[in-house]
Amino acid sequence: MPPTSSRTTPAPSGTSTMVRPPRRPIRWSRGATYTALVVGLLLTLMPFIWMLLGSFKTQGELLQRPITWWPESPTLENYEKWLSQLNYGQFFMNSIVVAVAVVLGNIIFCSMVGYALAKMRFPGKKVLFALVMLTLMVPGVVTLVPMFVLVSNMGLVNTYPALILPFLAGPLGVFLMRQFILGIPDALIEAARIDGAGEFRIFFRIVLPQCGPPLATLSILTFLGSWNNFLWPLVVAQTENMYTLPVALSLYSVGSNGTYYGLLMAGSVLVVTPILILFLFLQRYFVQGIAMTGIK
Amino acid sequence: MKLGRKAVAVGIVGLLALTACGRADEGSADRQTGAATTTTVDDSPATGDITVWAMGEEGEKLPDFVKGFTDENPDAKVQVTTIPWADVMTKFQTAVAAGTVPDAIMIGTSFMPTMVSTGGLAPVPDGLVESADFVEGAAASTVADGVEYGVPWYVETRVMYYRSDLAEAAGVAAPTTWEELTAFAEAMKANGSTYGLQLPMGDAEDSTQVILPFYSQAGGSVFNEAGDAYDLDNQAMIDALNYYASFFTEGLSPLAGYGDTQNSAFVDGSDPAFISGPWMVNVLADMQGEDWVEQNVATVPVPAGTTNNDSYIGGAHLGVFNEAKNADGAWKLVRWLAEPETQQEWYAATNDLPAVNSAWDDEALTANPRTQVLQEQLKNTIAPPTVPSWDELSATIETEAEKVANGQVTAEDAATTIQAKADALGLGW
Amino acid sequence: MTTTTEGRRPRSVGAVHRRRQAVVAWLFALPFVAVFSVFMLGPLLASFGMSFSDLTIRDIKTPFAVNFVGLDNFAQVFQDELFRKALVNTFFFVVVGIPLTMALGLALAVALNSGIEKFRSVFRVGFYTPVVTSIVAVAVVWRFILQDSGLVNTVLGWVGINGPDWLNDSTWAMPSIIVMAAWRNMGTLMIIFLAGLQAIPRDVYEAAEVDGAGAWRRFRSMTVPLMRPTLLLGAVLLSVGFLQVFEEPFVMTKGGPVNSTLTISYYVYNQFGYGNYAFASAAAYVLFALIAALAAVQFRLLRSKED
Repeated sequence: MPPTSSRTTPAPSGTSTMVRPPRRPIRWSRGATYTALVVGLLLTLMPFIWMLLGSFKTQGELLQRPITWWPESPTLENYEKWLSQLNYGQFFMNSIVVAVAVVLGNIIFCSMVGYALAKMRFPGKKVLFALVMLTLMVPGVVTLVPMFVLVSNMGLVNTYPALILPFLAGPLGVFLMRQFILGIPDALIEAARIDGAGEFRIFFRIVLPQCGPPLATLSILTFLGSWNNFLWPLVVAQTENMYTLPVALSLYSVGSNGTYYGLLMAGSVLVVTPILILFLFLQRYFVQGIAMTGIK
Repeated sequence: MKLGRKAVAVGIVGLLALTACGRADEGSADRQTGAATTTTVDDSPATGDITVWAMGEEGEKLPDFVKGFTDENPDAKVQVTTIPWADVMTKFQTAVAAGTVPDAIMIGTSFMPTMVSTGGLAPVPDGLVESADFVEGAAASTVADGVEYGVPWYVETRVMYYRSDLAEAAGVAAPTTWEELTAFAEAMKANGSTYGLQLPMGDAEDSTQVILPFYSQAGGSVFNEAGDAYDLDNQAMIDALNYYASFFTEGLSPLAGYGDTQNSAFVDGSDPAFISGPWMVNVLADMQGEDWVEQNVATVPVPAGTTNNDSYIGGAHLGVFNEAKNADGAWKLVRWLAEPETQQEWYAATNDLPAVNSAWDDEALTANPRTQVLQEQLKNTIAPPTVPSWDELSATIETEAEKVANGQVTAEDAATTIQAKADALGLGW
Repeated sequence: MTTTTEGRRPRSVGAVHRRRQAVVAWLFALPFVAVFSVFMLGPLLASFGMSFSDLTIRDIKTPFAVNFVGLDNFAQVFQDELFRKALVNTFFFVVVGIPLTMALGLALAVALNSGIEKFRSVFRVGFYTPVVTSIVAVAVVWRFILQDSGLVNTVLGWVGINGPDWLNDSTWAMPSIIVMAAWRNMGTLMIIFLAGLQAIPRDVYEAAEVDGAGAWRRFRSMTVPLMRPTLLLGAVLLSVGFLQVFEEPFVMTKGGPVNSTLTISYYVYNQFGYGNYAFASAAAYVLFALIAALAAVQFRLLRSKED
């Protein structure tokens, strides 16, 4: 793709770029790069575009083969069903409440433990970090049954805490925050310690304000994880008023006679859109956050 | 790493914590002893909250439908939770493990044995219903390990669908035997269709739902005479596998199975016949309109092998949990749903075929020729075996059948492999 | 870290300070440790214990009345032909899928970092979209693209190639799944690599450009070495995810044809479905060991290159 085309393009692609100072070290042929990117983007988005268009099709049209691209008789009934007949507002609220709580929990708790792991000495530190790293790699299905037994014995089945608590502080967040905080100069913290500042003060006044980018990264990742989480909410939510969007999506789009593709696609569009909007706003920090944590 | 000892310590604490809140004390309420605690249900009105789990469309329609029940039992309140079909077992397992069960549950016939094996389901109280009142195959599939654990709710069975217009053009009539079915598929192909018959392929498409009937049609039975072991390495299995595979090896069926094109290939005539359940009428009508279906789609009972023309029977039962808080109310609801009039109303609401024989007198059913074909087919059915290991064994059967169809193994070797797996698994109780 | 060497110098003021810091540190860790122990370690250890027992779905109401069977489950896992097949399939998926996904992610990152300004956000969001899109909803179109008379084969037909029925051919089903997985994951890698690229100081490139190094040479001899830690991080994250691959075969092939796309996670999922809990747990922990081993190797590589 782009790298190969660059070999033949030593010359700048247009006069307008010549006017600007040669700020960019690599001068790809802009035109070639854009062409490749646009073609790649269209290929990448093709399934998504089809899903978007499909959300306006009838079940009959979606069952046709070869598949159609443009809706033959566009209909809003899939969206109508979600927004009026089904309790979309409730599902959306549940998803939001759970995701926001999970994000907040991870932001606070993971940065706290991340700070301790990065900048403090205490017995058990290595064990704690090793455990965190190990659990990052555990396949999820294995803990489902024991976890459910636990939660139900706590009397939490079909409550928000059951949906939130297990994800309130995840190993990924700890890893990210520790990696980032390791990069904050010790001198800064030592100076504050010498000035007599307590650790909590140092954490809230000095460390946390610098953690914007990794917190943005963590927010997106945990929001995404929570937003798309399916198996656990399905198991602990017993009544419709506790369902999150993915649960509702799978519930109403698959009947005994097969999948209601239109409903599924409209539902998917409704589920994905908030994430894409969130990503659109936070992407800059997202990249920065990974840049600052990933390379350590 | 120095983490060993501490991890073990934490582990023990963790396990103790789980033990402490485990349900070992209720362990006695398992399958065997559950059978002994069968009670009777009287005729007084049901009271209290009754929670029900149901799947798919039934789950969506049931909440409104039970108004008829709550009208008769004003002190009872029915709360229905709808569950996706694909996730029922997960919900069921976790609920039983934790003891947070509803009162009643809809049970897809194929889930019956696994659900029973958990000890979560209660036996049907004596005298609640009369099993002779139900469609034979359905009643049989509520019995697991000799005890009834469910009351049939609705049934479905598979019949043969084909394009009547194309069959006429090809000059063939509805096939009634294996030989005729092969000839039928050949004639359809000769008439210009790409293939002659759609068959499911592999584990992904639950091909045992076709292979098991073939086996039964060839005179096979799943268990030995004592009923305590699988008996599958026999001539009937070899015949069934060879017959199934012949459609693929002779190019009469696509090796890809149904794939995504099952419906469209039927509609465009490139693959003009299949064996499937009653819901397909609506699926086809969604695509082409009811008139088209009326004019071009024929439904007939499945062709017969050397022994019979058994077809797969499915559907759903209703069961009540051992740990139900309102078992009495739940059984009364189940009894109500199995009454002939309720069954007729349920058919009107959902098109689900009645599981109760006497409900079939309804004019809505007798006037519909396609329903009549289904009723005729229901006389000859084979239900999935109600033993817990069948689910796992059927995956092996499906994979082996796939290999035979691909010419990778002989039917004889496949039957041997299947039996070996069956012996390793046992019945699973 | 240097905790141990400093810890050997006993100074009373230091000791008090250290003890205080240890208490504060654990206070900081407390909320996480509480959640982590209850909801992660507890269930994890329970399931680990489970893998040494004969627990099945029949015992679900009395999970502590089971027998200890030692390593029997693990022995059986390795004896199972199907598991070995799943193991081979998974390795194939990982060995082909990781380089492919990394290459795509890197190509995207380099292209987006090559000085284009316009629509950069659009591209970033666009290429990230597959990461967040419901796989179930787009599986339909993927299956259509890959079917016998689908888009891919139509295009191949133009250049005279008679393409296979991708998903129903036991040779080509896994490669098809790999392409889909690459599509779904390249966006994440793009972001990670973009981050890495942005951290490379500009003047390094400027110096090289003055030296007259071509773009490809700059990429090969500068970008790649400087990006090594980021590339390895991407590889680690991808390995952890790819070794657990489940959704792609689940929605596309159900593990078929003839188990050619059955992965370890899928195998574990099936075993749980059959109610063989203990056995499934054992298989899952084998998978876990593989992931941990691979990650450890990669982390070691990461370390040694840094030093």
